[in-house]
Parts: sequence; structure tokens; C-alpha cells
Amino acid sequence: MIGDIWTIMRKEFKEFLIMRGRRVGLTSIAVVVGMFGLFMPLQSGPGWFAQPLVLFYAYLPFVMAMGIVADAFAGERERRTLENLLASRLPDTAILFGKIAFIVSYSWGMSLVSMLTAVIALNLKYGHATIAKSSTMVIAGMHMSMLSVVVGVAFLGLILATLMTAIGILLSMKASSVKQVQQTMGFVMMGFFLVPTVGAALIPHTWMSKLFQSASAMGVKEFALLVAAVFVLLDVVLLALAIARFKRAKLIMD
Amino acid sequence: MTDIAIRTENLTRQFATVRAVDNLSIEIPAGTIFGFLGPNGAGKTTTIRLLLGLLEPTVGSANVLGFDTRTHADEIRTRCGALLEYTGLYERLSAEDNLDFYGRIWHIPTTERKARIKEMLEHIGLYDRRKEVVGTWSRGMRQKLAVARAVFHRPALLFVDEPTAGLDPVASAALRDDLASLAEGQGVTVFLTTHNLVEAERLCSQVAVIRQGKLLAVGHPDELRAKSGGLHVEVKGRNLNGKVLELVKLRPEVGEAENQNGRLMITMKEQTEFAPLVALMVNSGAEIEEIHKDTGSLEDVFLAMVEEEK
Repeated sequence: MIGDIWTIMRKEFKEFLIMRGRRVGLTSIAVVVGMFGLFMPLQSGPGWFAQPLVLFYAYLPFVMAMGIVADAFAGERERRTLENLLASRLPDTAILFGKIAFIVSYSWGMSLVSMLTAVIALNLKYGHATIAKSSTMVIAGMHMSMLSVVVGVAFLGLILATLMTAIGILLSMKASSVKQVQQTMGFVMMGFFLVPTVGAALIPHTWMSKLFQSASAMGVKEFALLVAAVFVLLDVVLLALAIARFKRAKLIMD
Repeated sequence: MTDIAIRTENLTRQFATVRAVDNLSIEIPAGTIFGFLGPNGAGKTTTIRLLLGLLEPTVGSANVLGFDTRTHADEIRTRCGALLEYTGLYERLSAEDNLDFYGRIWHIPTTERKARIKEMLEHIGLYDRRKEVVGTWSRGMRQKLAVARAVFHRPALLFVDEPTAGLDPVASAALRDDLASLAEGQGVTVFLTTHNLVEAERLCSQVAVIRQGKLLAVGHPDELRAKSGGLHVEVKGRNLNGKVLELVKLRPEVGEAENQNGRLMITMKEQTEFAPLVALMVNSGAEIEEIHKDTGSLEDVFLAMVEEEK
């Protein structure tokens, strides 16, 4: 099974890398890493990992996954390669998880590489002692070391990459073209931002106060863990839904 | 392995408003080339999808290589190769990468996989272009590569949907030879759908004609031709004029007769003697130079069957 997943991942990566030409593919990777691993951290200085902007490393996989996930099944269907793939000996789960694993590993990997590059670049420029001293994040009185921030952001990035991938895969399985998935994703994303905003406005004031009180009483660490747990649960539910919906007969559409 | 590669019993697939396959019952012996003929929309592709376990039958059952398509589709797909309606090649990848990908899918070890890629690409004359991206290739080249991909893992059963479409005559002939040697030399069963009836006639030991999902006939091409009844005769010579034609038409054993560019084309009602007709024409002043007798081609049989069912 792992071998089959790897076979799909490998093919996806090769296809992706040479989609716009190998040189362009590698250049685009270099641009992302150069921007978020070198330019921004070095511009910001030794305190880069203590700034709220560091959360962008968690958001980056979410955005990158959104850019490529539409192609997963809808792209294969559009290019008339899906039916032959489904007619092969590959188990359903290998095809599905191979595609998910590629998108998550690519988008999350870009974030990790960017973060790691930033750590190395800042260490080389300012030295470890300066970085450690300047990068302690203080949230509501809680001190977080650079290592805690990096691990926390990386974990959040993984959860968000998986979330976007699962949503995109579900849409891609049903759509007849990449464009259709991208259009639907636009609405989904709008929902992501509108629902909390509108929801917050609609919830009675007293309820909101109680919610904030509960969150404050809980402590920052516990609250962050709760939010993470909600996202992990959402990931699990969406992945389970994707497994349930992966039916060869349904994927073949004329 | 069983002697019967494919057996279907009342295989039926109903879509919302269309019955794509209707009570299809066939048996295909292992190691033979089976031609599946039918006009567009006859249900050929749906049948292949049912046999590969990609679709579930609404009614009936299908057994492929000893496995039920409903319960053991994975086992079937492991042992089969398929070249479906489209080549299914990854056009952003090179020819080598395409074959390598499918070789990995079938867990062919690295050394064997590399050797097989070389062997297959050399066989189709494209080894020197193995690093090229397939999307830049001509349709014929892609079709050759797709066939190579379908047989790469040495399947016991091969489904091929219009394999010579887009190939030049030389490449078509080479592919036909390959398919024949697969069946004869390696015992591979080939399930071939085609519109090319000459191809089916040359290759297949058994053909089936399907229309609107229903099986119209099945058997050896000769058997089907015999079912068409009449003998087709082409008479060449001089003085094959209107008078001779009218006399010929009056004979009870003659089904149809017409003059085509100075030649008489006669279809006999049954496989009767033709000599009395020759005497009649000669006595009427015709000077006969050549007579060509033949049973109807598979194409004639096919067209007749499809027309009858309309």
C-alpha cells in the first residue's frame, strides 16, 4: 500500500514539476523559499519568529494546496487519463491517499523548507544567542521559545494544508473540469471567511461575552489546543468523507 | 486459469434513461481474439467497464478470468491490461516516464522494468525518443505507446478499444501482428472493439455484434457471413447490357442484380449453382471475361444486422 501511494505521489510530483517546464517549476519553488525563507525574515531582523507575521508559515500551505488540489481528479478527467488509472490494479485508497499525500507534502514541505531556511539565515546573520533572545513570543503573558513557535506553526500548517486538500479533493472528485473546481473553491473560501464574520455579528452579545470569558479562563495554551483539536477533527471527518465518496463508478463520467 | 476467459450471463446495465447493455450473455475462450462490433453508442465501452469492474451491473453477472466482477474487481484489474477509448497517457511526462509509472503500478522490479521499457520502446521504434514529452507526439505515436503501456505488465487478458484508430497502414498491420502473436504465442485473450471490420475479420476467431446494448449475433466471422445467406457474384465482360440484366433479374434464385460501371453485381438468394446463370448470359450475347464469387463480407453482415434491428 505504501509503495502504491509513493508511486502516485512520485508521478504527481513529476507531472507538477514539469507542468510549466522543469526550469519554471524549480524557479517557482525557489521564489517562494527565497521570499519567505530569506527576504522577509532578513528584512524583519532577529525578532522574526516573535512576530505575528510568522503565522504566515501556517497559512502558506493552505494557499499552496488551494492552488494545486483542483487538478487532482478533475485534471486527470479533463486530460482523459483518469479512466486508465482507475482500470489499473491500484487500490482505491492508494490512488486517493497518493494524491492527498502529494498535495499535503508539497504545500507543507514548502512551508517547512521556508521556515528552516529562515532559521538558518537568521542564525548565520545574527548568531544563535541573539535569535533566541529576540524570538521569544509573549502571548497573554505566556512565553514561547522560537522552537515552540516553529513547532506550533508547523503543526498548524499541516492541519490547514490537510483541511484545504480534503475540501479540494472532495470537489475535484465530482467536477468535470479544473475550472469548475476552482470556481466552487472560491465560494467555499468565501464561506470560510464570511461564516465566522457574519456568525460573530449575529450571535447575541451576552453569548459572545460568555465565550470570551470561557476562552480567557481556559488559558492560551489550552485554547490553542482546543482550536487545533477542532481543525484536526474537521480534517478527519473530511478525509473519511473522501474515502467514502471514492467510488470508481462515480469517478468515471462521460 | 479457466478455459473460459470471460463469461457473462444476462449482463445488464441501466443508466437513468438508457439501457446501455441489455441481457448480454457471451463466453470467450482463453487465448483467443474476440471482436466486439457495434455502431457508436452500442454499449461496447460500457461492456468493457463492466468487465473491468469499473461499473456494477444492474442485473446479471460477469466472470472474468475466474473472478466475479462484483466481488473481485481488484483481482481482475491486476490480471488485465486496458487500452480504452482514449490513450490515457500522461502528456506532460516522457514516454519513458509513462511506462515507468505503469511498471511501478504493477510492481515490476527496477531492473526488469528498465529492460522492459527498452524492449517495448525499441519494438515500436520509439526508443530514441524516450525522453521526449508525449504531448508533443503525433496521434499515431501516442497510440503505439498506449498499446505498449497496456501490455507492459504482460496481462492475461487485454481490452483494446479501437487500437488502430489513428495509425498509418504500416503501423496498423504491425499492431495486428502483435495482437495475433500475443494470442497465439503467449496465450493472451484479447477483447477487441473496433469499427474496422476488415481488421476484425483478419484477427478474430470469434466476433459479436451488438446494437443498443443487445447482442445481435456471435460466432466465427465465417459463420456470420454464412448467416447472411446469399452468394455475391461480380461479373466482368462485354455486352453486359440492360437486356442481360433484366433476364438475370427474372431468375428465381437471384436476389438482387445491378449494373455498376459495366459490371454486373449479383446477389443470390441462397448458395445455389451459378453455372446456369452464366449460360443464360452467354446465350443472351454477353461475353464474360471474369467471374468473382464471394460470400458477403463481415461488413455486409454487420450492416445488414444493424439495419434489420432498426
